[in-house]
Amino acid sequence: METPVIETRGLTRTYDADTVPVHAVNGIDLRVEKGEFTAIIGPSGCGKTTLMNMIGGLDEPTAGHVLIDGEDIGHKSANAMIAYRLHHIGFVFQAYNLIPVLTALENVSFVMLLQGVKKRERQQRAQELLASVGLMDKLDKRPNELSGGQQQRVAVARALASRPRFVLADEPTANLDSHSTNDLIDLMAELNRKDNMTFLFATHDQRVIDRARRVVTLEDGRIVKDEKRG
Amino acid sequence: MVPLIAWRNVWRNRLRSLLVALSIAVGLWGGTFFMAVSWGMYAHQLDTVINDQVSHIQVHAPRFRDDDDGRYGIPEADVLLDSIRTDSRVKAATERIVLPGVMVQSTANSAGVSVLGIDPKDEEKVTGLHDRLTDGTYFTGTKSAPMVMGAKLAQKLKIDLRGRTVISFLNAQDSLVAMSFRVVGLYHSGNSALEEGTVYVRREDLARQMHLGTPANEIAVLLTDEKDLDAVQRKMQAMRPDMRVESWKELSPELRLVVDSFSQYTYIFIGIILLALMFGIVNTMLMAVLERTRELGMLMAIGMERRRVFAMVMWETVYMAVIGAPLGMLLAWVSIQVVGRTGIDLTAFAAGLSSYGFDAVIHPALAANFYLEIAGLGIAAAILSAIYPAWKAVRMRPTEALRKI
Ligand SMILES: Nc1ncnc2c1ncn2[C@@H]1O[C@H](COP(=O)(O)OP(=O)(O)O)[C@@H](O)[C@H]1O
Ligand SMILES: [Mg+2]
Repeated sequence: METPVIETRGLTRTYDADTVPVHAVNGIDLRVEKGEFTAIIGPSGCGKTTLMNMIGGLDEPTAGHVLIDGEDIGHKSANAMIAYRLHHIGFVFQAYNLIPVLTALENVSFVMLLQGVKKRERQQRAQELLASVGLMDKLDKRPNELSGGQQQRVAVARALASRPRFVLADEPTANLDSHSTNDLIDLMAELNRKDNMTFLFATHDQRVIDRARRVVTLEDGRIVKDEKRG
Repeated sequence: MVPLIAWRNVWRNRLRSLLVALSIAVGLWGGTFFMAVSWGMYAHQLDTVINDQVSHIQVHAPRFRDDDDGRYGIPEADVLLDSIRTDSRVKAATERIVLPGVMVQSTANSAGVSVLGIDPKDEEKVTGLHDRLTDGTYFTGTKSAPMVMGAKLAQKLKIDLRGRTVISFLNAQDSLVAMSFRVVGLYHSGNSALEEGTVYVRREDLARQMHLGTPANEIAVLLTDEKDLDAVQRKMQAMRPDMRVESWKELSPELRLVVDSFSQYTYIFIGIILLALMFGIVNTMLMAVLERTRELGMLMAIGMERRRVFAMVMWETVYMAVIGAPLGMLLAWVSIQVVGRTGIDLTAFAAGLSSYGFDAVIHPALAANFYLEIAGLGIAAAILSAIYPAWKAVRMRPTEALRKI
């Protein structure tokens, strides 16, 4: 069997609340293969964000392991973890994805700059990516000159710019109207199909869930359902 | 690109950034202006003491200085004087017979003074005594021995022009001599210690009673340019290893002390200004960092290294300092030029100041290198105060930052 892109083993995260500890994520075993288009769903507070953050190396598990391409990403120093995220993981957040003082083009090329990619290559790739998310005419616009949907498309382009192993998107459509939501999910599905890019998103938006090819349902920090479609 | 982002971040909250830049500018302006005022006082004081009194260099016999005793002369003073006058760096030089610690008496009162026996023509070039006469004549118009006295001293002795004084002293042959003089002129000096404590007579008059065996016991040298001081002093010392050749710094240690403590106070004052500035900058930058918590969290989440985040916050501060500091220097320069021309009138406090050699009107002035120094200090202070906010920024945990959404 091929090594999964993402694998969690007994992943657990407990918050020490003042009174009783909260088991936000409670022993999750999950395997995500390359090219999957997976939605993590469940009611608010079921642990989606906590799970995504641990997979993305933004948060440390209380117990259990996260393996990316078979490598355990625990025990990395904070700085090493930042570098790891830069080179291996693409992020799309619900909001505040972009640097407000940079144009769309600069936002996308910024991650490549952090990676040390040469200027000419950065420029070219950023343009290609923005073209592929349909924003060729918005290269020089700053985030506040773009609609919410356009901003999220830039965020998707930015997430892909670093050539990550997979893209994590936590509620990427939560702030979008239904038209923009459809556009964005179309875009991600297209990128998934065309480039075989692995997408893992957390959502409770039915329109997004409908398009997922695998749906993992959480409840109280545990997986209660895991269904593959088509 | 990090400096570019930082630069644009500066302009996100224009009003705040401008306030920071302006406070840097105003702080440095104030500090620099204050420094120029004290420099103006200091320069004037130096000027007064050097030009009215001690000159740049003086030569004495070692025992003259050790014992404060005028009976030790400079052997072959004329030879030394002639050769030092040929040096192009020397503006003027003169010889004197000086009697330190002598009692001068009028009919009404008496006072301890230094009596300077001078060659009136040469003295004019060295201490400009003639130009400082406020009343009377310059050693002329009398058949008896003439004396020029400070106006303040004359008041103290209750003596008028044409009045008689008597000085008494031990001459080189250890006999007590009393000499009588007629006051022909009164002079003024910005330095009241000088005005109250020094009387001038003719060297030839003193020489007759002093029996020094040499023409003088003091040679005073005024230079064209202060920067030659060390070189000329060394040269003269080499010419006469048996004599003590001293600069104004050794001759007037109290002046040096005043000058030194002045610069100390100036730095303390500037230090206080910088501290206040730093406090303001720390606060402002902390605010700028905290209100961008989510953005900074996002940046670190997508892989911006901490050192770059740190650098970004530092750059933002540096930009504001680099805008503010030159502006402050410009304001300082303009105001120092303007006020330097008109002067600050301190007549109300002048009585106290002039005993330290200060004039009543201060002309602020500052050498170019001090502008650079203060601007540098300002920028350094800004950089220092950015460290804590920058450190705060990189200490943020991305998850917590992002959760604030
Ligand atoms: N920093 C935290 N401290 C304490 N409890 C937290 C913290 N973050 C999340 N939780 C709790 O963990 C549980 C899961 O939260 P989260 O992962 O955000 O769920 P979801 O993203 O599915 O809405 C919730 O009960 C939430 O209150
Ligand atoms: Mg969530």
